[in-house]
Amino acid sequence: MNPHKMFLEDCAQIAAEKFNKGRIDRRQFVKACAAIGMIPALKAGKAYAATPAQLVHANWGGDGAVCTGDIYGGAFQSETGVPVTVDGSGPFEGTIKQMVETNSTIWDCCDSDIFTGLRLGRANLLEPIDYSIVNRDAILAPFTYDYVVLGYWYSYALTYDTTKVDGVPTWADFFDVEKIPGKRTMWKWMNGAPEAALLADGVPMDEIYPLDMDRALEKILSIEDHVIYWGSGAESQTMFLDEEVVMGNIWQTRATVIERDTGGRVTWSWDQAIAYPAGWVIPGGNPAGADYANRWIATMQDPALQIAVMDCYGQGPSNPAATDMMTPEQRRLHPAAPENYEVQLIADSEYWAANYDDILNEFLDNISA
Amino acid sequence: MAVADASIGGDRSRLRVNPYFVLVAPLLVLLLFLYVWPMAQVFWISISDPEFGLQNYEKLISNRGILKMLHTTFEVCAITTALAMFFGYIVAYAMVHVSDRHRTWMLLFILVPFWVSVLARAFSWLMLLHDNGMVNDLLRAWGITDEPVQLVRNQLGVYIGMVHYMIPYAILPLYAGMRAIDPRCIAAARGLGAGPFEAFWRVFLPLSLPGLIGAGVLVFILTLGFFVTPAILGGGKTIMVAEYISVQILQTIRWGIGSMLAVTLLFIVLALLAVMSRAVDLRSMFGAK
Repeated sequence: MNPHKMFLEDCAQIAAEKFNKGRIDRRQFVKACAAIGMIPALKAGKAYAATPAQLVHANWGGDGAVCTGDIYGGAFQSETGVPVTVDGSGPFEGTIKQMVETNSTIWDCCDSDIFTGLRLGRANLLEPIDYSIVNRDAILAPFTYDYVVLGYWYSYALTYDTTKVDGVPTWADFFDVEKIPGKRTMWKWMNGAPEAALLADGVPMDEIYPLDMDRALEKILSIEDHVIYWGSGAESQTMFLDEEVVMGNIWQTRATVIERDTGGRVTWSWDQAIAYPAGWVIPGGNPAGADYANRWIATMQDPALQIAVMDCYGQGPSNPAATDMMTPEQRRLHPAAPENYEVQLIADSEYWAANYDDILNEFLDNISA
Repeated sequence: MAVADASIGGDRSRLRVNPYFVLVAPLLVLLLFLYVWPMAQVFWISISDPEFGLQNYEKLISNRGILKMLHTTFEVCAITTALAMFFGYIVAYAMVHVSDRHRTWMLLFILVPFWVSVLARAFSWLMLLHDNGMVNDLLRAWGITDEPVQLVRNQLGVYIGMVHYMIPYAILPLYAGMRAIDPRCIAAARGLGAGPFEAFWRVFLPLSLPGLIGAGVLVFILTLGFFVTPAILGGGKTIMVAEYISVQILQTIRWGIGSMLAVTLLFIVLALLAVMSRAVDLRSMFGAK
């Protein structure tokens, strides 16, 4: 195809999209098509006009970008004919806010923690979820929200090197450097760390939230010199592979990979791991239109696809139907399999939605030198 | 250059617009739109988010966390600058005095790492220096230590990475300054009875002082913006102003505080440049003359 024709088609497509979203009326659309000689686009009529050229999903990159694009994206394209592009540059809350507020949204759907979705939704930065398209029954109760769909689970799990630690350690052991010497690692961006500190201090699971931050920070700073912080999942993995740390409070998705790569030298425990519900949001004014974004989310709710994505990079399926379709080995790795779910602390998304910014700042102020 | 000379030239050139200005005008317009305008917006956010007023700036004196972070930043930058200038001075001094062939080799060894990405360099240091890295393995193999020496993922790691990154920025202006010193001055000092050290201390060093101050301020300004190196080599415990701003913009969505810090940083840099302009000729420093 020659570049000029491509450009004209692109113009037609933009006009079609505008028409589709109601920004221009039918007469203007016809005029626009005629002006650039794109009669075929007009003839194709509404079917052409309604179909976006692509759907852009934003997540945190790495394997997550590849797996999402190949598995969910492949399925969506065969269903709707719309190809999916995955942008792995990271859907930070600030980036979404900036895009939506300046009317320059380039993402149709973003990975998001539930608590981030609640924050963004309350700031009017998201499209509401259309539950006539998205399946409510595929969402574990009570995790149904107006602006964010529960899509997957991940946990901050106590991961340990079996050659340096006897038996299965607890959070109390994690904070006891006399009993088990060696370095530990926690997430630099705070989540999971205060919860683990309070659990180590003997606070019962159902009394963790609201967090007693003074107590948590005191516990964390008590082993200050023995802690190095990981900033990215890959970094936590390297720390275990290079034997820099004996224990870590890391994502179970990474723990699974490390266990495989070390032939079981490093493993993790579900007991008192901190499970965070996460999922998908649609940023306001998304280019492909809310309809297609909701259809995309509905595709990603498919239990078989969710299991395939879990095999690909560890995300725990959100659809309860997925658990019954799993092999015992898959169930062992799945944060929301009932036997794993019930021994974990479930993060309180409402609490985090209200307090995330204050607590993150307080945490960073204290851990930094 | 013609433009610079003409604009600071005699009375006659002040009376009418220099025709060369037309050549620069498009760039100025571009800078106005792409740089000054966004900066103005950042400034506006800093005094209007979440509400109009100076309460974000008030945090510069009242917020313990921000004060601590700024203190860390200045401490790390000052120490890095001092170390980079010290090592840079030695290398630049050597470069002025070696043969042309050696100088070419030295320049090569300075410039090649200079061109390597900051990310690649930080990760290389990590691989070399972590607890089970090459350096610690050798130290143990030679029986020098039993326990690993912690060289990275702490403040020391931050200094190693940052000083290494900044040394070329110190060397190049220092070298340019030293090249301009007339070697006959040193010869004259020696001829008048000064020892080698005295000739250096009383003649060479004072003559190289403007270059030293200029390079020092330049290095210090550049260190203020460090983000990746401390984040990777500091084990998460060294948070400097650039990373702190990024947290406020991307994660906690406190744009008011983030942009207040950005504006503050900008004014600090401008103030430093003003100080520097008293010691050295900025135009020659940045190659405009």
